Amino acid sequence: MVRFVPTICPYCGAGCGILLVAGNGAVVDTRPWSEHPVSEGKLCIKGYNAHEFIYHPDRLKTPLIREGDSFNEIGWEQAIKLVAGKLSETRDRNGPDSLAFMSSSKCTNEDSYLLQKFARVVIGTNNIDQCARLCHMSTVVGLGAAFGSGAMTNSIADIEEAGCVFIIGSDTMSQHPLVARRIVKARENGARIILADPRRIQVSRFADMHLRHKPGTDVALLNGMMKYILERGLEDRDFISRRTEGFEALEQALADLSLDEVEKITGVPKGEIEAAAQLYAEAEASCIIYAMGITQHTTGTDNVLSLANLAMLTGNIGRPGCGVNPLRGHNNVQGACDVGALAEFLPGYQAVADEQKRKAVAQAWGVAELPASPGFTAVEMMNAAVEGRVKAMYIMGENPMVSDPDIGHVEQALNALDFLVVQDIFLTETARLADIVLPASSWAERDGTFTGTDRRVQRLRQAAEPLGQSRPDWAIICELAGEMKAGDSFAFSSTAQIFDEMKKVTPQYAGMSFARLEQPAGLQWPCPREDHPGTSILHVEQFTRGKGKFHPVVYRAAAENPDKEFPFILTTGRIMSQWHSRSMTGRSPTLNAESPEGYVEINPDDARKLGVADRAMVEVRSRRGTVQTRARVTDRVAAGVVFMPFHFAEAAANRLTNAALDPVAKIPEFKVCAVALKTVK
Amino acid sequence: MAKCAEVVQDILRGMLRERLVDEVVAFGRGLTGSDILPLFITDEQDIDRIVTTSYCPSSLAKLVARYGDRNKKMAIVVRSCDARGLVEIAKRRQVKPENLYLVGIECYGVVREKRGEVYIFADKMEVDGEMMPLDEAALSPNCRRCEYPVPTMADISCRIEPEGDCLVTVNTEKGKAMLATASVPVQDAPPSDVAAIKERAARWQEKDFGDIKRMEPGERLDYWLSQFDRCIKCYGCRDACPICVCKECCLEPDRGLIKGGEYPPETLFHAVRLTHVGESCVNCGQCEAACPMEIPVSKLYHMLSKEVGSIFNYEPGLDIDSLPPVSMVDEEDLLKTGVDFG
Ligand code: SF4
Ligand code: SF4
Ligand code: SF4
Ligand code: SF4
Repeated sequence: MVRFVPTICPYCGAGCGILLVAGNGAVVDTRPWSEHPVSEGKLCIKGYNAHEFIYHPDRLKTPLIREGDSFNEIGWEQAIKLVAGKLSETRDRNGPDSLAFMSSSKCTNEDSYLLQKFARVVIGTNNIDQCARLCHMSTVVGLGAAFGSGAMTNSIADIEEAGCVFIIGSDTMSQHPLVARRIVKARENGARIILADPRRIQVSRFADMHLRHKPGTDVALLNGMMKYILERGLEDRDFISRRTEGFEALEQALADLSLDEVEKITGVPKGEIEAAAQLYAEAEASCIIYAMGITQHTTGTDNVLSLANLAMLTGNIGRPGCGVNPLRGHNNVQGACDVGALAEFLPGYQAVADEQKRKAVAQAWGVAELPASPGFTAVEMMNAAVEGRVKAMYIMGENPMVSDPDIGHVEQALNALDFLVVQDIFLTETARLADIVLPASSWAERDGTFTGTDRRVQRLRQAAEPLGQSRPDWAIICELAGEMKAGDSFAFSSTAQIFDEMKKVTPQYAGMSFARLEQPAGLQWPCPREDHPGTSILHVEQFTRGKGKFHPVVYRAAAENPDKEFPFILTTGRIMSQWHSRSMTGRSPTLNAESPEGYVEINPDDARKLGVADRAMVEVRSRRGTVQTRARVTDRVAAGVVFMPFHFAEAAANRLTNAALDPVAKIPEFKVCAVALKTVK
Repeated sequence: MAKCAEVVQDILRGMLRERLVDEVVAFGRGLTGSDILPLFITDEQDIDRIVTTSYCPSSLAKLVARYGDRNKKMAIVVRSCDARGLVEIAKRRQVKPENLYLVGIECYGVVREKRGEVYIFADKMEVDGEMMPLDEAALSPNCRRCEYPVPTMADISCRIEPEGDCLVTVNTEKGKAMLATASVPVQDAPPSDVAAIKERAARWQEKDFGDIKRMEPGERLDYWLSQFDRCIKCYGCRDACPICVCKECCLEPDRGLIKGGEYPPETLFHAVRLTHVGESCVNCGQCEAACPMEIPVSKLYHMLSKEVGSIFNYEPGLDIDSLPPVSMVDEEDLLKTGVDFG
């Protein structure tokens, strides 16, 4: 006999509902869930195979301790004692800021909430971050500044209402397929589709326009569109005057811009820029969809601000079918940020530096004070470890040894630590460097909540018992806190209890509870009161910050540009059937079989000049490293640009990428660096 | 209150109680009233959750083939397309017909996008307790083309009347035994009038297929290619289809036919499934309902099976002893159906 357990897909931020099929105490399959408002009975290949890695033989079943170059099994009690002892010792000897914590966008809200509370309360440091820093921190900062809230303004289903969909820097068909479905439906309803992307991705097959700009020139492109809109008087004067401030500054900044110059920078013909601007500005409702092609740049925050400018300029905020819609990568990257697993924010984006807010949270947690200065962010942690300022690190469910930029540097950092704990479901590339490894139970084996990209807080439901001795992340943290004499603040026996505390310090979640979430649609934040239905569209009457604020942005080139020695631009991304560092998909036979190995896409013209044949081995070299991988000769990339998926440890694109940071959001520039190519004999 | 669910529930409860079957497979309530999930039930207590609304989120035939134990006796609540799917699955030896106890429900269509608790009748519909004229646009496209409202291949067949009565017909000897355990009085039903449904089916088949057949050959090719351009090879259509029950499927990358990791996949992906399912498609619509990219796949499959069926005088899902003209479908047949792509 089988049971169908409704829960949420563990892969992307679309947050599709799935039914885990459980029989004989184990999860055996995944089926689509019809009643779920995002996926409506459909899934992508990742969702369909979400169960495949659960019982992979590599699952960690007991805690492990390093002995020289290998690991030995130890019991939980001993493991907890050792970790607690080491963390206390490091804190007492070198101060709280000598420890750093990395939470995970894959774990539940309850896990992330507890880990940040542990860092702040038990250790006393704000050194807590997670991979949101690497994907959408520029969104959090940029949209936060422009609108007052760094989240997707509209909802996934709402895209169907658009008259024009402008997709920039998002391979939606492969990375958020169930969001792409709404673009398809919008098109069936008559919407026009504009794609801006350096690569000829699948959306381009049905888009009305494809602007193929050079990687890293988004600000120039968007400024060009705004310039044309102003020239033609297509802006929404009424919206600008009623709802926004700072418009004059934008006008001034654009005054001297020439579209010929923009054409030169972006490589997109002026006429196309104008046509796209016109389509976007004239539609009844225009919706912007973007992802990491916008955010992962040293100008990531500028890119996001430019999108906010474009939407406000044309009054495309606060109505159905419009908005600025970042698509968050991981299933719970939205939630991990919401609940405070960020170096500068307490739960609910309350700045640690804001004394009043800090005091209020401290009071709710029953502690005298909380650390006041922002901690190290993800990449800064690694730098601090190399410099010897961070001595011990606790990594929960992340694999920076594949997913961070400049992995050589990450390896150096992790090896420099006195003590590294990794808590994961597999012995990942990162876990292999740990002193102690703690086995976590998988998402199918526990309860909790995930928050999808459209701010939808949804219940995860346990479909099977934890494998071996693995435990849910939150339970491990509670044990540790108990061992470190902080048990009173961590006396939780269920995720529902954690949620009840969490909502008290996370204003956006205040009106939610597990009981209210017991419905397929979950609840979209903000949900301030118990009788509040949740919010599907933000900034309807006014912006979260009151008035929307224009931030004029001037185009800056990427940190590293092609030159004689490194003549190609390398851009990186993901592919349909793999996920990030492949710790899950690489262990899912169906998914892995689709694309088992890495490659580099090279334009046919370039390939001819270099003498590279399709599927031949090539060496790709940047200032930071060298990898060998197979060439795919394809016109998906333009001449002068090459693309590598970053999933594959053996041909790790992130040995090449540049860890240069966006000055505000501290997000690294994954999307542009300069490389040289040559054939391998 | 769920319409007539009591009668159906009662029959199923009796069968479980008397150990006529080991397990019951049906649709039931999930998290909320409108959340309909498949249920595999062995405990009489769970029978209360079963519903009979005109909303079927998946093919129970497929689920039985996928998760059922073929050596167990199972009662399955089926609509006509489910029953026909099971007949086709039985021909492929994935289920043992002697172990299946089919409780049929007459079906005049199901809705794809739910608007509440919906019951569809021959010429009207009830939405959240309110009766109104039937809006054909609300029906799932395959249902509009369906000419088999009565599950004659089920052991018993229940007709839910707009007024709330449930009329039961016995179709087989097994059916008699099934009814013997029920504690509610069951009435014998007069035959259903299916003329209106046949008319509707003919009209929609003409519209859906005719639109495509009337295209110029090149235009027709472009139409399908532009549809397949959106395919993300999720395999959802295959995984939903009661005909696709192969343990090893030719469409998977390690079989060497379709390249892994290419999106959209080559047109061959669709051509292969089409030739494999071809003449056996029972028009259950599940492939299309599962397609994340809104590709009208069931229209294509239904059209092919109709064409091929008329050539070979074969109608899938009606008779377990009539075997499909498998492998008899060749390119020429495909051409006749207008699916002459690549
Ligand atoms: S679109 Fe995202 S959430 Fe939905 S099934 Fe695919 S990976 Fe999972
Ligand atoms: S091809 Fe589609 S409509 Fe035909 S039997 Fe399979 S799932 Fe049903
Ligand atoms: S596509 Fe062909 S090989 Fe694959 S499951 Fe269907 S019938 Fe079998
Ligand atoms: S369900 Fe649709 S998208 Fe998925 S493989 Fe089938 S046709 Fe392609």
